[in-house]
Amino acid sequence: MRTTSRKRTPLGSVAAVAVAVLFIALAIFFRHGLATVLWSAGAPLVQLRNSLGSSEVADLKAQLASSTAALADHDLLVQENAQLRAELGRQPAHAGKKVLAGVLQSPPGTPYDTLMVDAGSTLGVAVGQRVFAGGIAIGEVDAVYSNSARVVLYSAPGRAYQALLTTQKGATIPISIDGQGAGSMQAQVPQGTEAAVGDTVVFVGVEGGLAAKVTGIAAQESESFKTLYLHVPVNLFELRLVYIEL
Amino acid sequence: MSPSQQRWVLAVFFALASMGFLLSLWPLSALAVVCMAAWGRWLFAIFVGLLLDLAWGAPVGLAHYLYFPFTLVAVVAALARAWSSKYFINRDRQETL
Repeated sequence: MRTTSRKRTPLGSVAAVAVAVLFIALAIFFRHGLATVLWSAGAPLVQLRNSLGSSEVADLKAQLASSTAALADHDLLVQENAQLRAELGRQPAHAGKKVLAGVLQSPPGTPYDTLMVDAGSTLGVAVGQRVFAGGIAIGEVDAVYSNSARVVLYSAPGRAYQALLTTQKGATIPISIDGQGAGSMQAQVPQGTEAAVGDTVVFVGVEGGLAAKVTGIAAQESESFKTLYLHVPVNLFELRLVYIEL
Repeated sequence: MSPSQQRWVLAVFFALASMGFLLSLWPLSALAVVCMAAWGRWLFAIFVGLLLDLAWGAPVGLAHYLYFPFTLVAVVAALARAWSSKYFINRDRQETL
């Protein structure tokens, strides 16, 4: 196979390597600024591509994904309401200001378990703010540009969170959930735990919110722990709109 | 291959990388970067890899330490081409009288 093979002089090779090192150094030291410029130019193109690719079927799928998530959150809210009646003067979890953001890119299109949204620092978005879909917290803002932001999903591989497993029998068990990617998570519980498919997992704290639902259990009697397979009750692949809590 | 043909090939690879970004197909972008570097245009491949890394950010989790994965892929592909050119590429030049 013949490929291009320009013969460079040694000086030319050194110059090429120097230019490459310069590019990389610029990217390291000015990463945020360059990414801001890139997304300022790229976001309209992606939005145009998304609008061209939309169809009635795609819109209906997106609405169904939002409705499914809202229904799951509603069930949890009814359960929490009975407990919160005894609380005094606490503000509801989502009383803060929210910003609606369109999803530019989502998994599996993005190489990491992240979303790119079209709301940035000009709308008050900041790093660490939680992102919701249909009332369910799905991730946090990881990087902010002027008109766009990157959201890391809670299901991203390598991420771990403290949560509470709420069984259908009313028991609450603290667990640690590990992200597996694409909305899937995993947790280990002692063998004797009465967990079942359909149990809910919520984040720790008053502002916790629904994290996932148990979709499968792998248990071997010889093992001390069993594995709970969890999944976010939101179709991340069909997400079109999310809310960012300021 | 004439210089204009080489430029066309490079333009096709760049278009593939861009399509991968616009169509949310990151493997296509990664493939385009590898092809560019394997083709011999390693500087351009590094530049495109950097653009993709700036757009999609650093990886999440343990892979965060890679920091610039698409750029690393370009560098590895370029090094692989440099190594293989010693033993495989253009080893049997066909000369015509």
